[in-house]
Amino acid sequence: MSDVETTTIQLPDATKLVVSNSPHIRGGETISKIMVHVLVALAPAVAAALWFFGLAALQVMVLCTVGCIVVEEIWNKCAKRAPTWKDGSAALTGLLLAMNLSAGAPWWICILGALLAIGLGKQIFGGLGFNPFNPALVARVALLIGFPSLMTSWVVPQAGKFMACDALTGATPLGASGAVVASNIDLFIGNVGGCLGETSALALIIGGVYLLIKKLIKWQVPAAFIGTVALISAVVHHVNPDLTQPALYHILAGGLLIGAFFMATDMVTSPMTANGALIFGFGCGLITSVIRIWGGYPEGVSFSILFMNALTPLIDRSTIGKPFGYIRVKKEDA
Amino acid sequence: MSLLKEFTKGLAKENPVFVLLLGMCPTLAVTNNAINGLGMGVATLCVLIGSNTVISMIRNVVPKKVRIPCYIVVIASFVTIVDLLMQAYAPRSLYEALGIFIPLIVVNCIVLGRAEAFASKNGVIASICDALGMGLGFTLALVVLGGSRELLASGSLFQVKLIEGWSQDFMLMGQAPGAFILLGIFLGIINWRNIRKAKKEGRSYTPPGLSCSTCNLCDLGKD
Amino acid sequence: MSNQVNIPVLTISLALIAGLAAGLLGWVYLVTEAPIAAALQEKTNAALRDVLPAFDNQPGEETVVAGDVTFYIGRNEGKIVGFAGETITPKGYNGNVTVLAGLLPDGTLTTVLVTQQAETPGLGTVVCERKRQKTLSGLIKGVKETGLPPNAVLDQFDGKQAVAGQAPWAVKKDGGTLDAVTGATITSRAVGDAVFTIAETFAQNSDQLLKENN
Repeated sequence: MSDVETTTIQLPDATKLVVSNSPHIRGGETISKIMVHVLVALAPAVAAALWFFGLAALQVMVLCTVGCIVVEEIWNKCAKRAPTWKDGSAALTGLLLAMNLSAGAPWWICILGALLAIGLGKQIFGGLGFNPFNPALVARVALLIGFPSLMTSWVVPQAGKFMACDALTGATPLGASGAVVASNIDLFIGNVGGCLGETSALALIIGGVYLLIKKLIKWQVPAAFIGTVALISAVVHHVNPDLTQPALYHILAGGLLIGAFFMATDMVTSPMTANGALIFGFGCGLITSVIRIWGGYPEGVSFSILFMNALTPLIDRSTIGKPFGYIRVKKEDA
Repeated sequence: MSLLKEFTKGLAKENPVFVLLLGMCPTLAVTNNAINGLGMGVATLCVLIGSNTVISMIRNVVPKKVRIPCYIVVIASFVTIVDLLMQAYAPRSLYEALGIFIPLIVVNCIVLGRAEAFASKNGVIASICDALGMGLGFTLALVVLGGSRELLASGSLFQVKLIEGWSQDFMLMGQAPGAFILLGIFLGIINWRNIRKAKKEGRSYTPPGLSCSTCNLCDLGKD
Repeated sequence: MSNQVNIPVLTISLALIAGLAAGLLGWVYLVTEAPIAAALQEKTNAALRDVLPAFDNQPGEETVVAGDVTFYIGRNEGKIVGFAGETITPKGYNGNVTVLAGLLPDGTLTTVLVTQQAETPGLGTVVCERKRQKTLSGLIKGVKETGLPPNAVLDQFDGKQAVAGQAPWAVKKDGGTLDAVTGATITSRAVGDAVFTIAETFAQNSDQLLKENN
């Protein structure tokens, strides 16, 4: 404290700071390039949503996407920051939010969701890269707790009828009683009630594989996430079939696939290391299963991802490797 | 003049909730509407006035070594009295909504904090002023928080619907997450105002330290 | 100040304060004992007034237990005007649901109330709540509160009657006739079960209940 020589330390610009193990290599990626890839990966799921839910789905998607961009720009204006909508992250958040809503969601749910996602989920922490939680999921969970009956009544899909506007509410695929209400084929193709983005397992898997090939997401997260859910539900179903549905049903129904491929793998809010990603995926899967089987809500994917988001800094700190050339300081020297 | 200062400091400059961040447990738990906030605030206010008065009266009689147990006995007695009176005379629905948080006023650090930091060193009149200010500051904070949660949840205030077309309650605000989010937003606004004020006056703003050794509320951390 | 601890002085002062506090508390307790008892009785009566026809006795003091159901007997000028059956079902989504149902002496259900529950807010609670809502314009116009607010699920039991030994009522999803709230089938089912238990228990014991208490 007293007579140690002090020098001013120039901290690196936090917006350009990338933390990972050394040695480092510079990639040619930019935020907007990554966002375009993710949008491409979402395309099959978007197409499936339009096919099954028609114009109502389009309306929700447009409202959410435009809403998010508008909120982002208004916030930037108020905070006197440079416009950021061109990097595409706000639009992607909006589209992901739409994928988490029912086709029957009223317009004000979409706008409120956009406000919650960008305002509460992202900008209040300082914008892209500083948000501890996935913005789209923050909005989804806030809306789910806020309007539980609206957010859990689904529209029955009407494949190919674009103008269909009779909102029939169907059975929830993940009822609490463990009853199977849809066949695995219907779940795989997407012919069930649910959020826009979580119905068609096929479309989501295509998108997920694209992301994996492009190496934009770590395979550890979806693998550990889906694997844990499958394992736990298989064991519980084997012990007591009345309590829950079989493993395959658990994988295909609800938001597990979109969560595992598109939400949990968000670069900002998931761990950087491979081992960390494994722990992250395992935690997500564990919490999802516990909520689905024993919890107060039928679906637990969004809660579990948010919960693990909160643990991400801790996971990173405990799994980050030694820098190249690092020599361990012996205990007696330290 | 100084009595007035003892009274007003609790309302704004040393507001127990928004500035000192004390009494968070009832603040977050029972402010789901303005009436519950008001009920909790008034109950705490009554306990504060009672305990501050009595502790100030006995401050020269009680040996220093057993002062904390004595204060706790005094505070616990007043809490029990308030609890019994509320059971007997308050609306049943209010009493049931506040539930366990009425007995828990015993461990509310505002009450013991004021006893130790103020009433044990000052006269009876000054202590009552201090208790009034702190208690009303707490009540004010709870009513503001409860009112804004109620307004955002269902468009009503004091359980009277102001916006009549509002048919779908935004339940997030009525539940625990809403309490945390709104308290955070309020604290953010207060910090933002303080920083702006400090900048205008050309000094740097340091938020009040929250550890036991930097807080001047009581001597407990300094023993 | 000396470091020596004068234990007798400490003990006596603490004991004195504790004693004074105990005395004060005892006095307050004596003062509030009667009002608290009255407030508790008023709480039971308030719920019973909602489900029973006008009565002038204290049904809280006249209870008969039959099976899983506690029956409160409502009288007007000594004559039985109705029964209020209360039962607790563990079949709620999140634990116990307490249901209070009013019955006329012939076994017809009049009003159903859920008095205690811990269901998921916004889903299960929709089945259980009857919310009184004051509005600003209502206050300005001076509208008086009238009766019990409606609840579609709870109101569908009004006028129903059970026969001893009949098959339980079921929600539409289980092939029955009762309406359920979307997303809260389990709570709707639990409430339906509880109401049926009350009505059926009454049907089984109606002779005994009516004769023995007349």
